[in-house]
Amino acid sequence: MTGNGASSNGLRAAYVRGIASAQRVAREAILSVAPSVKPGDTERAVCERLEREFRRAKVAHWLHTPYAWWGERTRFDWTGMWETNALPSDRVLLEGESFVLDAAPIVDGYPADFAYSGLASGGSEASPALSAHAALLAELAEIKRSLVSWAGQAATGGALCSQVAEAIEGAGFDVIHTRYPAHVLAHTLEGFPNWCSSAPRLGTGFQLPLLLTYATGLVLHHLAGAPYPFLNAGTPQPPQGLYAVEPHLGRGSLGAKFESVLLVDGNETRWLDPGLFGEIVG
Amino acid sequence: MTHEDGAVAPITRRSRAPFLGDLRILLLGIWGFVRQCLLTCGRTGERRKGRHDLG
Repeated sequence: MTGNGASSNGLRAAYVRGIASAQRVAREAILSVAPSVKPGDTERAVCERLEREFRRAKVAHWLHTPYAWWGERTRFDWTGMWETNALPSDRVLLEGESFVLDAAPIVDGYPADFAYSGLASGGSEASPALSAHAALLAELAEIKRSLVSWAGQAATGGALCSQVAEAIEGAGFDVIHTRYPAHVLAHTLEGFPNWCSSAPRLGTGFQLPLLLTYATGLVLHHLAGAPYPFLNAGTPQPPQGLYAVEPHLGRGSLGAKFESVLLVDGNETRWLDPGLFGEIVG
Repeated sequence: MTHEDGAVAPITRRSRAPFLGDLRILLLGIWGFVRQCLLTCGRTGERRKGRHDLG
């Protein structure tokens, strides 16, 4: 191995460690709040609890501030603009309803994006919602296991997205992640810190580092052939690099997702956190 | 794909994502961000003020 090769491998390893460490902060904050989510909470109140946790972790910059979605809102069935509909609302969580928490802080310049799906306590153990939600989580776990081999072998990101959508529909669930802005299954976490990652926070929701990084990525893709920043149906290249992957599925009035970091680098394809909502091993 | 004379057409792979689709993503993204800021910047300011007032 040449000196240059060793130093570039070292830089790459340091970058992956930076993302893993940011992801750990996001996971710990969300998992510390998730057990306290209870019927009667509003989305807004829980987002404030999440923000308090992130303030303790000294988070000042964001790809997006925390989101919380309750019940039917976990399916994004709304009409109109995702960005405004997805904002934390005064919707109250009811017993036996599904919920999703999702936050993407920037920690020491490195972005993270973690999401957790749960069910509000109070439903009986034999409740149909409990078993339906368990089925959603089982399918998510199966997709997470399969994605390692699918991503390593996919001819293009578009083909990978089709494969995931077919698996979800084949299991009898609805594909929800195509309702995100840019219809993304995943977005890149490469190229940070960059010129806009310390941009000040503006209100709630998507933040300037997210908007400017991905807008720049799209422009550079079309002008200079840079790697496409998303995995969606139109992605022309094979997956390469670090992605925040967020398959999101639904059935009936329930929706569930996970969001984890997948590394696709040459011969190596692996999750930084192999379990569903599990520890980040780096 | 096979032509009538039996010749196999070369597989062509796009090197770019569909331009119009991405232009739409870009414009909707900027518009969504502006709408979201208009809705929440005031609210965040009010909340901060409230917290400060409470001491």
